[in-house]
Amino acid sequence: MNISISNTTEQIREMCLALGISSPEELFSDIPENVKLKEPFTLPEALSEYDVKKVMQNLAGRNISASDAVCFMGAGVYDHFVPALVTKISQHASNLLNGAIDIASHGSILQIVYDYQEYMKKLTGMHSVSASDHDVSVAIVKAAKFACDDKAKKKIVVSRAVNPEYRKVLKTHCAAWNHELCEADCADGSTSVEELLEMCDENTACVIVQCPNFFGIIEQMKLLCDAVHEREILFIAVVDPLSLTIYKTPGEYNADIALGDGQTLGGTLSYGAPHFAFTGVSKEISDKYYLNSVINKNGVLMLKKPFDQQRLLSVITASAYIALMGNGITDVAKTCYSNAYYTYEKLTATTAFKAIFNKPFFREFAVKATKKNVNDINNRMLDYGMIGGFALKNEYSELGNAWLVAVTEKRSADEVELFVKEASRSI
Amino acid sequence: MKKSIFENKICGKHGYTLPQTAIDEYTTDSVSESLLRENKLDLPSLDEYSVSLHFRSLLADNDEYNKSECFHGVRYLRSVIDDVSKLDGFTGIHPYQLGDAGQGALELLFTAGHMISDMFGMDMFSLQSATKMQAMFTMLAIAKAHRQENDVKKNVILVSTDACKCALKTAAEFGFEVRVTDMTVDAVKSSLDENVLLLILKNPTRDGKFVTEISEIASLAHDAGVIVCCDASHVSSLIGIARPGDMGFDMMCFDMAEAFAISNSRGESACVAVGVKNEFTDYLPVPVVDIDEEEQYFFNYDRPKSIGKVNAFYGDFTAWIKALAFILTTGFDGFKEIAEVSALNVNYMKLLLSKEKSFVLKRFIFDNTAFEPSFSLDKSDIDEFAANYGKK
Repeated sequence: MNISISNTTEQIREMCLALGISSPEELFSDIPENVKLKEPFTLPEALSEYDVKKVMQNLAGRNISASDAVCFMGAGVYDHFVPALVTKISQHASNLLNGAIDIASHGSILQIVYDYQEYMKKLTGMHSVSASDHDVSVAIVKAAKFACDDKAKKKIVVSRAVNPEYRKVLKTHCAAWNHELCEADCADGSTSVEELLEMCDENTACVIVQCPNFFGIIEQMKLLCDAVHEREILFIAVVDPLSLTIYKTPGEYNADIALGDGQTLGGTLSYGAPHFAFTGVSKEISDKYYLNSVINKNGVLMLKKPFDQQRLLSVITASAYIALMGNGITDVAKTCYSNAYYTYEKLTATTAFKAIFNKPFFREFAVKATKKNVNDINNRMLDYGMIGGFALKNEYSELGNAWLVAVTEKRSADEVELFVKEASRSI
Repeated sequence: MKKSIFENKICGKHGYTLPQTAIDEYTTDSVSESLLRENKLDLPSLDEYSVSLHFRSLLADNDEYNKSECFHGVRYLRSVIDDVSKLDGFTGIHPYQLGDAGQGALELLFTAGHMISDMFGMDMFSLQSATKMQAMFTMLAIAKAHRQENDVKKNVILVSTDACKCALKTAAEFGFEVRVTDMTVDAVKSSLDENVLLLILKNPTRDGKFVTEISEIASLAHDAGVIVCCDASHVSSLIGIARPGDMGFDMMCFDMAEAFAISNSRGESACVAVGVKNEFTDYLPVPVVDIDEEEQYFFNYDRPKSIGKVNAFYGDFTAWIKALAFILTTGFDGFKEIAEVSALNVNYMKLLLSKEKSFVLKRFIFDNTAFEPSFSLDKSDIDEFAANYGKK
């Protein structure tokens, strides 16, 4: 008996009678016999609630979770602290949404989304912002497509210091559209301005730069943006909301489109499952760029297309996170900053690591391991309950045995000490 | 005055499942008569959905449970499914952590992928697409890669009249020419020529009908060297009854929230699965989960024919946790029962509203509105809805 079904045998009989059939199977008489299932597909017999919980707990238990381990891995997904209230509000919202409320007309939920947009406008300095997509890579693809259509051009220039995941997704799409994708080098850890500008020809629709970039380095966004604008090319900035509490905002350097991942605002790691991506646009293109945002029309909030539950929950979580943090969100960023520098200094003071780039960074930095393969170091870290950094050679082979380490506000001095000690031990 | 739990129908349903212990030697039959209770216990016995509804209606402050949504495609999400998706060992894992540290997650993806392949008669599924648009993109990119490899020049996509906007938009982005056709053997026959690369059709259709000539259409298309894709937007009405893979489809996509009750809101989920037959598995987006000789799961990126990545990381992992939990708690018989009760509910509702006799699967269009009663609704809910329909 399926426990999600509330029709009784009697009710089923009555409905069959009304429909003039003897059993529900007759409702499938339109389906030709040759395509009907002859044998059941192979599924284990339905598990009870307790048993499925055991199965899932067992699977979950075989993963090392950042809630037990100490995480120094970043590369696009960060282990930030999520206050209990945020989790609680998120849970409450989740329960509410599970009540199947039509959110597109639910005033209190639209209010939360509207408030989130206001927060993001303040953080990014952009003219209008919405929770455009599930995932930054998709938001980038959309922005690039917009630029190409708007400029009627087919070339996209992207910095190689943009997260490789995003670039790969962009590459798949450019291949499908028959668009040209050029990658400007980042030999010293930041985008090579000369090379990037050299690539910007009359066919170029947009330039995409990330800040902080994949190596955690703060790019010269103002300089790049101005130079790109001189060539009448759109500038797309991939940004991190936390870093914007400290660094120049895309609104301040006049980016045309700014987008980023909402995961750092109260989101969990969740194996990289999408939370939401925000997209902000400048005043100049705001009439042309389709943003599905909540608008206030004569005091009534409206949303064109309802968000799916997952994205809506992530937005509510982000909104709760920012609401709870207030201006203190700057302190989170500052703590990340100081923790990262502390770790960087400690690591590079050992003989086992040396600095690669001498550039300002935020929350994340790259070092080169001189004695051991970073994959081996990562393996050893697991034994000490730590998730080590990202092995850069998978994506940037020229960097050799380099390690990308992220240090969030969650990391304590003791944890860093232990991390540095174990990472630099030569055995 | 709120409704008491005792005012609910008392009908011998139940909302729990017992742990499967495998111990069955001892029954209460052997308890001495003198020790047994005399009056038969008589408590309201409700299914999980009704219990949830009851407490929700009592507990809700200003946010009234909006049951009317359940007549338009919203299904009841079981609490346990929501719960297991929030386990620390799932929410706290980093996408780049070493495979050894994520064997549970990898096994979950591997298992869920295999199970749905079997359920829908496909050979392999990609879990990466977050939206229908991306799923369409994936299928078209695969078709394009396949075309390039076989050095053919075909450039026309044949779509059914009820095709989604996203199919048309994606095809345009690829530079394909779109041709619209009815899904009958004759109409397809007259639309097919040597330029047609791909055929996309909805089965069941937008108005809940099964495309009865599907086998004939598929073999006609195959004979002309055309790839046949299923936009399985309404496939949940078929699970346990028939499989797209057996109807001649080479590729299919479906929304996880539509197929499985893993989300309660309207609108799409963040996960649209794309399934393909053997001929096309090499083109699926990277990475795919594989198992090595030492029975360790790993992300396989070494797939030279792959179309690349369509989304960062591995898709909506949370949706896959819920999907696996739903599949495991439902089982084959459960899926069949859901399909049957859905069909019964929708046809009964259609009879009451439109008085029209033909059968549909899962949904119908009436009064310019799509009706899609949830399998959790019962006859009295539908009676009440129909009685009040059109009244303010």
